[in-house]
Amino acid sequence: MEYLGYINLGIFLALMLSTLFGYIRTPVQTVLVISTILCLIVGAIFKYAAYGIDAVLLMPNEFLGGIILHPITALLTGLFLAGGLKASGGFDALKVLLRFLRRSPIGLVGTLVILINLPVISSLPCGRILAAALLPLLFTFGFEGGLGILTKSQLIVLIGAFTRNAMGSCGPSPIGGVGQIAEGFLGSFFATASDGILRAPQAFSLMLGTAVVALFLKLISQKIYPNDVSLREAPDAMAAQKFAEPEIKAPIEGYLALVIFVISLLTAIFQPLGKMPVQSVLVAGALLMVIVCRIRLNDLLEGIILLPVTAMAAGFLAAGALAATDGFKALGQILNSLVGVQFLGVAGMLAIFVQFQTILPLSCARILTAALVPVLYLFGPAQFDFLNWSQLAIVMAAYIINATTSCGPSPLGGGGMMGEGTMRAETGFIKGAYTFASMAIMAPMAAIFMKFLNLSIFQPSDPRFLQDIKMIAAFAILIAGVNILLLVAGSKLFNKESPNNYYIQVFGFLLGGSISGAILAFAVFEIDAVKIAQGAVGGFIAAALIGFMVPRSLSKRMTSTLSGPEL
Amino acid sequence: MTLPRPLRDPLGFLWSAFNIREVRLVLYALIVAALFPSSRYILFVIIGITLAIVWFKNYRKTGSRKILYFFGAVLLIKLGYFISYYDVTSVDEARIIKRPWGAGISQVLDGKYVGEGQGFRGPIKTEVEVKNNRIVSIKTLEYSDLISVKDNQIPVFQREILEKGMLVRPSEPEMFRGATETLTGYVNAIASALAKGIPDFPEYSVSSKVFLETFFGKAPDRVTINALAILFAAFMVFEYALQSMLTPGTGRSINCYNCASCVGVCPVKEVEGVQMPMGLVLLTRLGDYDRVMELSKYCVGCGRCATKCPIGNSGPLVISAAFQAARQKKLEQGIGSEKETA
Repeated sequence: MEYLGYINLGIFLALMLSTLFGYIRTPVQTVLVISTILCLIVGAIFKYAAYGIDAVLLMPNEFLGGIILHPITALLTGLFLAGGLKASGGFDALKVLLRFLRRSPIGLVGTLVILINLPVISSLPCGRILAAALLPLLFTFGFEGGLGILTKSQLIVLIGAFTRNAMGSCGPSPIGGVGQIAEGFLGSFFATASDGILRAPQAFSLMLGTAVVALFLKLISQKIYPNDVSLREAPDAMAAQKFAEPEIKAPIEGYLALVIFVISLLTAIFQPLGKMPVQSVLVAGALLMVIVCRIRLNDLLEGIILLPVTAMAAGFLAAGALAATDGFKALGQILNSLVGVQFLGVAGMLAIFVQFQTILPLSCARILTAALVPVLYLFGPAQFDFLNWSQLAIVMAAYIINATTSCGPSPLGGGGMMGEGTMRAETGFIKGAYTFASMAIMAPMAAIFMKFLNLSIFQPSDPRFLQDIKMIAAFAILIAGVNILLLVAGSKLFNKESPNNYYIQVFGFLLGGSISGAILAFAVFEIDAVKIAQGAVGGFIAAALIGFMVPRSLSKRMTSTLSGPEL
Repeated sequence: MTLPRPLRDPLGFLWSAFNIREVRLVLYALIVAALFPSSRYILFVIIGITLAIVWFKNYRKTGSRKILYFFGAVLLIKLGYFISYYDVTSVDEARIIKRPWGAGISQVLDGKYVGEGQGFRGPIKTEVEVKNNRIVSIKTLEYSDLISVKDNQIPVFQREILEKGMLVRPSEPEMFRGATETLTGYVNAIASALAKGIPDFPEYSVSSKVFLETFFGKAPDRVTINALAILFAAFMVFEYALQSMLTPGTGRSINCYNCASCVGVCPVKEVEGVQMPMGLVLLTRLGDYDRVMELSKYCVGCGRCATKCPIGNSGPLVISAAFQAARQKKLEQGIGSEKETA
């Protein structure tokens, strides 16, 4: 029986890795269902042999008991609301508002900064909704799009940063966000978990991470892959010309839908009418849009993006199967044995664990989050007791932001591919920037934020408040500063068309990962030199796994795709 | 004489009907109404409003009188409701005097009675024995809430009733926190059993019972509204996935990741506000094949999208499937000629 968990864990990981590396060309949800079935069959055989038919008959209960419906249903209803907004021209209304903003004193740059952070501001349950609506608008800022306000390089940065922000905004979303899965587990101790204990750390680190992605795309990616974006620059003769801005008009229904959307969102978050299920609020909002904005049911359906829904359901199924067949127990034992390795310890193991989804990026973060959050939960007082509740919350914050953002760099149809498509780049162009930011900025920043702000109970006169705010500011400057320095220094070391550039980038990853692991260890265990060193080693290992998976070159792949045997 | 299609080919007819989205939506509503009686009132209102809108539009376009029949039906239902309401209210008032609660047990004749109440997850059935104006035993015959309510809560309540010999409210209501509906259902089951032992206990008329059960069921509460909201969303997503599975050649569109990588390599990229070819794939999910055919004129058929798509979807493939589906639809509507069938 002790081998059952290891066998099933092996099946699960082998299928996931085969999909990630393209050996299995089937949607990842299908692979997860296959993995579920295989695990259950193997589990049934083992259990029958060891305990008889009664143990097998209990398996369905054990398997289905792990499914958490709330995030799935909240996501479904959130997609409806967003679908209504899209169908009624709400995004057009948003575009008009953005145009007004551009003409205001904050100007183009200020508007673009707001635009880039719009996904995290609105926090929809899937970043693809806003990305699909606004990426075509961003494209118009370039020469090919008609406005010619931005150069090719600027447009790459703009689109890349916006997509990064979007493909992370599902984390802090209060309407079915990825973070809600973890908040559910933290709720067994923290009374405020269901009110969004993980929301602020995620949103804050996402904003900071977005800025670093912009810098990475500017200084690193464009130099490593100079010929892999087919966007065109404006010809010199035309560059100085001012293009006439096309008039964007929005229907009145669009403005109404935007108002209904905002009110529904605020009602769902702040519950001003008394405690009520978020799903009811969102469906009511969507139906109100149907009536007020006169949209068809088909329009509402158009807003549904099936991927996150099916991914989450499939993720829960796979997680349930692993739980019922001792797969998580085996994973726990493997991680437990990592803890026994002297140079890793708990801190090192956690530094690797929080980066797991960036190492293995799937098309939707929910797949692995649904499967791995229960494992992380077991590190706390529930089973292994490596961490107390506060430490668990800190690690959870770091893990969740890392997980949430993992759909960005995924080559399996991840959200980042929307950005690559819009900037006419080859698949993998954004991977370095996205994984670096998730690993080196977002995870440690979320941990620090959770430790110094979310877990502290402040009184108005408490001097700790100011002290903790200063601490967060100092860490934000330190983390961002170090990474910016790494990017600037790294880009200075680059030579034109040199293959060494890739290795310089990997070195940057290793350094960034080590620092990230050390900061995470500090956030969890405070000033403990051994633990910080162990965290740095764990971060180094994770960074090696992430850094070496960033593609070395893209052009060959593009050529083979367009003219090679694959066509 | 040729038999009508439902009789000639019942399975084929049912399959054709199932392929129509509106029919499926009605089917979903019927399933929900059958499974959740408390949702019937809301469903009834929704279907009523939908029919009113559709028939009002018909009236404005074609002068169809269906809307008048609709108003007639609404009027009749309203009338029936008022009659039932009057009946139920007067019976309820009469019941207050004869209720079996507390000292009311003195009205109950000796004997064993079976009663039913509605718990959180289904019906609760009890058998109550009364002797010398005291409750002497309570047996639980059916109890659907075993999963959610701890075993010890109901026996504690039972003991309390047996000690006092009459139906009373629990002395420690905190013990039942989170199980209000179960407890209420259990109490109602006992009360309804005891009511059967009271001679001339006022009963609702059969017509009122049938009317209220058919059109209104149980009064909708927050739990029902939330469940309906979730069911609505779930059915819509199911419907969305089903559409492409029912149409040959479009099944793969369910798997679209919405990643837009196909848009990046497509020489057309965007026309008429639709991202090509991703938009075509998504339109087939909706079953909007006419729109796919409209947009198909822009596709240059280069197939780059298929090589780029992580799951191998392609614009040309979707277009040909949409053509097939649209032609099939026309044939079923009797528009297609024999030649086209060949």
